[in-house]
Amino acid sequence: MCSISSKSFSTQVVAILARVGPILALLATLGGCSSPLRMTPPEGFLILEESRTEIKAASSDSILLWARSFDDPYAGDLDFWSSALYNELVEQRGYTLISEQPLHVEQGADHGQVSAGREMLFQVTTHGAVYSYLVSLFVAAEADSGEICVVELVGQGEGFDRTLDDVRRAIMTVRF
Amino acid sequence: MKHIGFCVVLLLVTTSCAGLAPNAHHSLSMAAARDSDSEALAGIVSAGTDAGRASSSGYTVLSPEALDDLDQPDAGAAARHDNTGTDEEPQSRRLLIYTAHLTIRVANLDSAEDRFLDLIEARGGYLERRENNTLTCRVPAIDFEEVLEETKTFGTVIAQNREAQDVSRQHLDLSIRLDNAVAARDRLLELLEKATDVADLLEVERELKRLTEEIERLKGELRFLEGRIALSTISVTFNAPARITQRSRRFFSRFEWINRIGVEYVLDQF
Repeated sequence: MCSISSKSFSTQVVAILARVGPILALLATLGGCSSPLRMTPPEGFLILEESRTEIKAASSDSILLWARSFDDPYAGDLDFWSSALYNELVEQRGYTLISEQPLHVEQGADHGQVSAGREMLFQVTTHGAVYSYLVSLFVAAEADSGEICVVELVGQGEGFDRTLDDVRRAIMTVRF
Repeated sequence: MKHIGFCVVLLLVTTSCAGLAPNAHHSLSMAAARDSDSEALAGIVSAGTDAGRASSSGYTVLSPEALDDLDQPDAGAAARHDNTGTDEEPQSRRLLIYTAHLTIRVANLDSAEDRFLDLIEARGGYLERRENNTLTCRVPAIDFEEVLEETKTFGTVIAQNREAQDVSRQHLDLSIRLDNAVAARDRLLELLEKATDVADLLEVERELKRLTEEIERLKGELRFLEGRIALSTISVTFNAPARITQRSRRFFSRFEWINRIGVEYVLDQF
């Protein structure tokens, strides 16, 4: 009797797994759609922290590089977020925009999709010194899920200028 | 000797007609030109007219050395011939004075001004005037565009204007007047050698003095004009970013991720 009920229980478990399994697998697959953030920092930068959503790196002369991805519940487009960023930095925090230009990087698991981006270069006086600040903003091409990737470079003077070209090349390796 | 006097007076009439300062007290009947020195006078008139024609047909900016050389006999004619490019298009001979003004918002006034002055110095220019946050500089005209474009990268351009003033006609007029004055003075010097009467000598010398002063004044004007052409003027007003007061500043963006970016946040998190 006992062996019969045990057999019946295992049969039931198998049956349940057979029904639920595909659903669980599908959920797992969907959950993994958001690729981990990846970027190859330029030579001379040491990676300090790395996770699915951020990469923190610094050079020996304190030039700081930080790439992060954020969920975007509003699914805003690039124009909207560029404008929001500009308004916040210039109008609210007193940054000075030096230049800006469009960017494009591939993104997604197969890198088949292209994300539109915008690079903005600012200067700001804070903590008693003049800092240069490069921020690159990417918005995932599929806006339903909404994902934003931001790469920031912070530094002072010639050290910042020296690394700028290398960092710009590194930013083109961003995948998210 | 009266003929020489006639010649001097007629010369005054000629130079006045050519654009030199007229002297009202010199007046004479044109019949005097029929006398024995009429050939000399005819030469003067002819020289002035030829100079005008030559200058009208084409010209370039004279160097300061060339201006000095105009003092030498026949050097003016040589310089004129140098400037008579007959096949050039009129556009290529256009003489322009470039000026520009920029208003730029920069993160730091001192460093922006230093960078601007370094740039000007590197291009062979100089600071002409400094008034509060406005720097007026002169740069070689050939570097005008590049200096302007590089200066724009210092910050956010709030306002800009540029102007190109065409001074071709003004330069041409001055050149013709100078040529005529030099030619007239050369003729007077020839007459001076022939003069024996004291009154004639005095009159010729007085007129020579006036012409010499006129030549120096015209050369000065030409030098000034050519300096303006050779060196463009760029004035830049640097503005500091508007100070964000606590009252006007929102403390947080409505969008969470924006609150977590920026220099202050990055410095705090590293």
